[in-house]
Amino acid sequence: MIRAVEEELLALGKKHQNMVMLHGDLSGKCGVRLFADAFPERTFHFGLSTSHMVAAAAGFTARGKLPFVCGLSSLIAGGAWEQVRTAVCYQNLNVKFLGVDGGFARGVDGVGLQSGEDIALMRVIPNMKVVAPADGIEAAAVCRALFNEYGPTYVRLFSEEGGAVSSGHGEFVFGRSTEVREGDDVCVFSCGIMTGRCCEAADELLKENVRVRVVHLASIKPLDVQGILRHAAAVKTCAVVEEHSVYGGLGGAVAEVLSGSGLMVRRIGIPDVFGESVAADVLYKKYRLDVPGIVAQVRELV
Amino acid sequence: MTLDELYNKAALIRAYTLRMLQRSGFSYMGSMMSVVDILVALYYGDLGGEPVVSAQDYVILGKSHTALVQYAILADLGFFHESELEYPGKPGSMLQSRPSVKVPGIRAGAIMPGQGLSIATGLAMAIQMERKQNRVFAVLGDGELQCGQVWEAALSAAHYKLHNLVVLVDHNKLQHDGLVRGIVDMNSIHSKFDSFGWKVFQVSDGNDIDELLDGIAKALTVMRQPVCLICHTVSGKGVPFAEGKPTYHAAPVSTSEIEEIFSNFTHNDDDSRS
Repeated sequence: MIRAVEEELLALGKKHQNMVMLHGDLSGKCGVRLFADAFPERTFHFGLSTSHMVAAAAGFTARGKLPFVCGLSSLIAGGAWEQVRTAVCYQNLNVKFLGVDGGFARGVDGVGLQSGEDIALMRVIPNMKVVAPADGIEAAAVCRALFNEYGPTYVRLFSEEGGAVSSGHGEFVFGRSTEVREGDDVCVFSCGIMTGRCCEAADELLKENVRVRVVHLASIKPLDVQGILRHAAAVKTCAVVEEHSVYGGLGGAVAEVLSGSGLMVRRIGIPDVFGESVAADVLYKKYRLDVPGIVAQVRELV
Repeated sequence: MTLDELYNKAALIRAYTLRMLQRSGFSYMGSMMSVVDILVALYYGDLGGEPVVSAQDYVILGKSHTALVQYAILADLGFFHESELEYPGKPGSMLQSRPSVKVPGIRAGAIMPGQGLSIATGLAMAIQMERKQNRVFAVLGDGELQCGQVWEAALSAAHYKLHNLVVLVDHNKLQHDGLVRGIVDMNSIHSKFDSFGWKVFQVSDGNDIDELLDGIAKALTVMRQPVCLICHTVSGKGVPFAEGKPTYHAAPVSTSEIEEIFSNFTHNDDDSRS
């Protein structure tokens, strides 16, 4: 979905003169490329000084700039966490964080650059909004929406395209969920690129007469609390599927909503383990987060 | 302001700060006292008839634990009513232990040590991008230089040749647990900033406002490099029983200590210094 983000950020950069981009290494993969080519004077490369970069973004806001801070999820949400918390979120500054390739997506780069924890780390900070778009179209819509709502926001992007989920909706609204597959046997809540995989899994299970409702929660914080309760009450059982630890991510958020409701939710994700230096696909398969794995895990619930 | 007026102002700010310390129960008395003159020089000083820090310039307090001093100055300058100074330490206070943008007069706030220079650098980068002349003054502690992020920012500032950025290091030689050189020795702060591409000057008495203003004047003549002023100060300056003493550096102030201080404290137009 990076290509779509690059194009959208370029368009937004033309429209918004106060927009600046701050990024670290791997700039070619973080969405800055086209903006950087068009507006080199508004683009700042911080190399590996990630913590400094985040606090510097706070400094930019004092001059009325709107900084987009782009980098790997592991570095932005993990490495610079304290700066995100106190320099930006505590002071409620209008800084937008684009974190790329959380979960196992970095594959052979290994555990240091992977991040099964970024959603948990970001959503627990007050004032922070957290978004995980499903595909390029939605990611571009998210970028546009960032200009409509003030405040620090963490967007979880992936190099992978993501299965086309948006089907041309082209609009993102904070705090809203989207039902992308209908069904009453089991409801699967999902976010990010996993939603596309959940849709494929739902289509597979339909052949076995299992009707899976897939609800896409791109907006993780704020969460569509009423929507979650409504969907969960309408089906026999529900699950959350994410490329993130089963602790503290979307699964944790949904479980928090459903706690006290008496409704069951099964959290499917990374089972509290670190990844390893192998291709991402190998990890998806090993932890049953690829389409066949999701099919199997959802089938177990029914 | 004349020098006498500046010395008087420093005494007033010390008095305000000590009262706030006692009322709030906050700590770091010695560390607050050592930085008063630096902040007074910045906020009230003139160079050639122009204020050192104009309305378009910025002061970032990197040694954020001394926020009470900055609050006293901002109240005195009219950014908010001085009654706000009674509330630090009480629920709902606008004035928290560390300075943030929620306080009128603070346009960029550092909460944690090591953050201030990063924020100041980002600000200076934005100003440079706009091709404007505004300046950024960052006041850092010497213990704070143990934070790696300070050096990330220092690299950045030199890389972008930010001559609109001036750092003043409050070099009082102490940190919470004792002498800086006994904990993590900074050795030569001068050679460190110098090797990072900064222009460095020393202010041999960082509690002498006249010397501070001379140092700042020199700093503002430098082009194409950020500047560091190493200001040699005394922790607890202005409180005779606390000057230079590690035990008072991070201490709160008790009621009996306040009474002792104010019984000896003079502040009026006749005295040149208190």
